[in-house]
Amino acid sequence: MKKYLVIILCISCIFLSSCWDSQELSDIGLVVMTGFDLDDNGLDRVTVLSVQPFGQAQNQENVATTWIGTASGESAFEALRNLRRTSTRSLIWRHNKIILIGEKKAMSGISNITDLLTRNSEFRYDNVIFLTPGEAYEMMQVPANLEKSLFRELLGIIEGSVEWAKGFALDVKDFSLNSLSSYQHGFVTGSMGFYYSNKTPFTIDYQEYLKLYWKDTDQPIAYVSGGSVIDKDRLIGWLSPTELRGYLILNNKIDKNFSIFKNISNSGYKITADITNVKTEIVFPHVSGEEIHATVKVKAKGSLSEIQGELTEYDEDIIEKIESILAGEIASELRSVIKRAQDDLRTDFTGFHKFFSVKYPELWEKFKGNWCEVFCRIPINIDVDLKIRHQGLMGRTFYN
Amino acid sequence: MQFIKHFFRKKSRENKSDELFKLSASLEKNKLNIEKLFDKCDDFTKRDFTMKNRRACLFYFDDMVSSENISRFILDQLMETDIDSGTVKNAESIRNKLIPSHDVKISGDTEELLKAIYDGDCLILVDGLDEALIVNVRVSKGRIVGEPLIEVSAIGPQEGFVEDIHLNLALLRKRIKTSKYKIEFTTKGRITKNTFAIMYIEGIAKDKTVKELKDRIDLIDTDGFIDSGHLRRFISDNKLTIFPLEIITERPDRCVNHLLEGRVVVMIDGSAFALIYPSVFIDLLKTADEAYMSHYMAVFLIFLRLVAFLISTFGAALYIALTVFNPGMIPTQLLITIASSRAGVPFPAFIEAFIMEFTFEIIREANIRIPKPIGPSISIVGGLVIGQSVVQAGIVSQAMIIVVALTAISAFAVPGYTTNSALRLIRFPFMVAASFLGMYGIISLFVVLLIHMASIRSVGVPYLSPFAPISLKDIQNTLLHGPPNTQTYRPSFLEPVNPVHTSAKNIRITPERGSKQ
Repeated sequence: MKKYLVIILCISCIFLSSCWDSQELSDIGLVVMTGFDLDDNGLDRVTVLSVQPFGQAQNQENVATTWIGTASGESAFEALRNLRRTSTRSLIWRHNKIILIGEKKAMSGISNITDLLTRNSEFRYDNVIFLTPGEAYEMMQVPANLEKSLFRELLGIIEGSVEWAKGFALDVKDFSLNSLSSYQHGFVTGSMGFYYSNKTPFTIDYQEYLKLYWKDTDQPIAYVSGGSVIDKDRLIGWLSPTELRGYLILNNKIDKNFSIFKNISNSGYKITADITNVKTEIVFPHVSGEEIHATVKVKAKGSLSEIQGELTEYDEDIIEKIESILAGEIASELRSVIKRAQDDLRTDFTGFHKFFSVKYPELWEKFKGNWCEVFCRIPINIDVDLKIRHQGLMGRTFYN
Repeated sequence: MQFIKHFFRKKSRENKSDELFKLSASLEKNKLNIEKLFDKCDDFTKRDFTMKNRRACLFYFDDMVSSENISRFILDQLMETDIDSGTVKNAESIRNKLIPSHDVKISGDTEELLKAIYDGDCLILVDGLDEALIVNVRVSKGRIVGEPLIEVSAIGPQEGFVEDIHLNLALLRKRIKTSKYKIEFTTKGRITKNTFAIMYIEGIAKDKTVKELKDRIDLIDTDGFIDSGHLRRFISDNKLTIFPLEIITERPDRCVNHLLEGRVVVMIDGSAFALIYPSVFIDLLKTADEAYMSHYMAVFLIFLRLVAFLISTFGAALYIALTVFNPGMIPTQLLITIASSRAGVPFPAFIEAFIMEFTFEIIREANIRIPKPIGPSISIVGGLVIGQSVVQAGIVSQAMIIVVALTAISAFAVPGYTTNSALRLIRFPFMVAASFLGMYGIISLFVVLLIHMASIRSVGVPYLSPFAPISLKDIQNTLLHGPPNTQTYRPSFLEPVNPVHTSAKNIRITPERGSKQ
């Protein structure tokens, strides 16, 4: 009797689950990119890029079609549901990679999207969030150039932006952490967009090249560069690629290396260096009452990668000189982004509060409420320590 | 009451095979009895002759004896005219003086005489003697020892068992040169009277295991055994389980290996396969080859087979569960590839998988049954026609073909025919579970399977030894195949009388000894 009871218990626990939501693979569309906009009526509009696998022709590669659907609704989630009105397949978001938010939507507040992304289990935390100047709807209609679908092209570019250090991506996890009220002092997320150009990058062989009819017409080209500053839950400004790099240096977010260029006009040469191992630290050398001084200490190593023009002599001294010139260049880049934060956007997206709250927790309690105003008044010193480790394979210059 | 008693008595008498007669001193009477017994047995031969004025008679089965031996050792000698007449007066002296054969027995027990005739011996009855002489004139008529057909080994011995038990025993005996190696015969089977041999090494094998096996064979009461595969059904611990609870092998070297571990080998006349008890799950993943390879390779192979076992069990089920229930677990690019190959297929994944797995089973079965000369047609029809056209016609996806092929090949990578026939069947319940409950179903069924495996035993040894109950020492000594100085113990789950098989001391070659050579 006892044995049967155990068996029945074991069997019954199989049926406790609610896993009966089986869906055949041929009935689903894989959403890989989701865009959020505000439409003309002020409703939330979503646009999805969905990969719909469509069989294979005989002896051919598998064909997958990308479907771009759009729908509006009172809320973002309702809009997502409304997509089903035109979609032939049931859409799943588990494979979503990119989330794009249009400028208009971003300006009017994105708290509902942050909530949706974190509340809904279908969106994964590794989705990357971008803001785009203009509409997400338009951005997502940009045709893919080399890859089969726009999302793969964008993913490739996003991966490359690490090497470039002028593009940036924030995933859902970091995005929502930054959006938490206790951290709300502004933060930066990546931005992407597109431009029209007749100098379209394309990959094609000569035979096909002859057939091109659009060669000289303007084509949309997608890019990932620059950043966008979000305060509370609103977009307050865009960062240029160089400003974004300043932000990345300040926040220790440079993973690989970046190159920096300086035209030294009075000596008549131009110099480019590859900067690696960037370590940034923000210290507060003088804190008394309302008076706070901050110093940004940057340590970096670099190597010379390109020299144009004539170097009069080529020795230890000139390297030291180059070091100090390039350090100044980095400092000026940082200064420009800090200036942007203090004077223009008037929010501490640069992340000084993180260092301050750790170092001076009691003072932080005092300043927490109006940190942005305190921050805008802080005089900030920038101290860049750059060491040129390599001069490249060539020891001297050509014209010497 | 009386009737019931009578009924039972009658039944028990029926179980005794032949109506036995008693040997008398009169040759005529004995002849009559024997002829009556072997009436209509046309291969039974009787040869009358006269030995120094005494009538005598030979009885034997014509097809089982060597006629040359009969003429040379029996007729030639006994029909000699100048025999001392005193010699022929008793059986003892006939044996000692007249028959120059290596194996001559004297017996008056009819049952023993008949057994001898059935085994291919020759019976000599002499008038005036109430005992018969049994002369071994057997000749082995069957396959000669050849290469093992199923358990092929690259560098191991190339001898395999044959159907003649005496040849098989010789193959074993010549490898184990000790009196501790015991072979015990029993005869079972009401009609067939099969000879069983139970082999073990005294002082290593656990006595209880030997006794238990002997008891189990003793308890069987059936008409006969066709093969060792038939026997194993009778003596297996759990008659319902899908897992083989014994090792079936046709390799003498493997038998020796297991005998040295303390296992017991059971053989049956007429079968080319030996049964080895007790056996545990990891034995399914082992072959004779591991002992002959470098230990890195051996461990790799065992690991490979374990992976193959898992793939063939779970492959198709995982495919169903992942594509139907958890597409989020597949990387995007792979999912797109799978999905586009699935698109246009009219069946749900489960039906698709089931069709292909079933088709494969049919092809495999057909391949075994088909006569050899037309064998290649199966691979053409099965492989090309079904495999390729089914995809081109859009009935089954390419991904599914890959999964089925992988599971099938993996099943073959697991050694042992009995093992992979078990695998063929386990796959299907897992597929059903996956199609209803996805990953959850697979895991639930796996848990049930594990509970089952943990509960069964082979002659008292838990089937999942040495993992459950866990014994690190056994894992090291049986599974890991390390260098010899790490492998000094016999598997302790077999509870051998003497647990150590290698002395670890002298294995390491010291530098002096190594370099002076």
